[in-house]
Amino acid sequence: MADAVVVIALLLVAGAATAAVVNRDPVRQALVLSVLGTALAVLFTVDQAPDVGLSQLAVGSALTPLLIMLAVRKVRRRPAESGEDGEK
Amino acid sequence: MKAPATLLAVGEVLAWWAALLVLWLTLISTVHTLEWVVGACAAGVGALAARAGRRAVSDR
Amino acid sequence: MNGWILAAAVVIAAGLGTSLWGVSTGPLKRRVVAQNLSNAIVCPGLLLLAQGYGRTSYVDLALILALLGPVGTLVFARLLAGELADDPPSARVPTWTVAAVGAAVVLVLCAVTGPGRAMVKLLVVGALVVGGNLIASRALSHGFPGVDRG
Repeated sequence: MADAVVVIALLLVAGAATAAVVNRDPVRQALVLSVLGTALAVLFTVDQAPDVGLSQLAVGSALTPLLIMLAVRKVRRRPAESGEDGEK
Repeated sequence: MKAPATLLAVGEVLAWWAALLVLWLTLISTVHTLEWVVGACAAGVGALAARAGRRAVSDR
Repeated sequence: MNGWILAAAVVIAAGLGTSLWGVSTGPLKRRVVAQNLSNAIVCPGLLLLAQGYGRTSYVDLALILALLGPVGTLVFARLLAGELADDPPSARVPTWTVAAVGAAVVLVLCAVTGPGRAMVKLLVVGALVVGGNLIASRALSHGFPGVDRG
């Protein structure tokens, strides 16, 4: 029974990681990456490593999406401004 | 009219402190004296931060 | 004891599998809803795992996820507000289904735990899961009033 839940978590992590690679749009990749972080936390938990799972949750649930979304926003805003490369 | 405002601020911080201390004592696994001390200090810092945050949200 | 892990496996496989499918296909508005609901459905799964392994300290994982999961969804809701404003996502039925699953799991675990500080902790986690899920869903579908878009 304990092995079955490990196999399920492994399959979910593999599926989420594949989906994150297959999607090409950075925004959608960030969404899939958030789900991948949750699946990884479940995998760490069923492998009896809740401390690693805690840090994975702390980083993966809010911080990584925030960084990616801010970067995407910055990059997308750049061409809309005038041609000269003024810092903003 | 300075005294009522000060009293209100102290009361608000105390209320936050009590609520956060109760939350701390709920979430820890075993209650020792050291846990009380650490929880009271953390709740004090948290209460000041909570009041600052509430003022930042409501007084804009 | 094995029944708890079996229940956790079912909840996680069904919930996370469905939200993985939802988050990797379809329009953007369905993806953000699936991302939000994945957090809210894994939380009861983690609670069931903690009960199944007999380690009460594993409840902290569910607590952290219940606290930070809605924060991540609010990040998406805020930074994607421009894209979501034209076609706001509304997923009333899945949202309330997930909230009901979370509430049911928390209530069952409370009944098993019995009165005490552990039960209060479970109730705090449950309130955070359901409340955070509803707040994040509302932010996704209604945006942020008072904050300019973009």
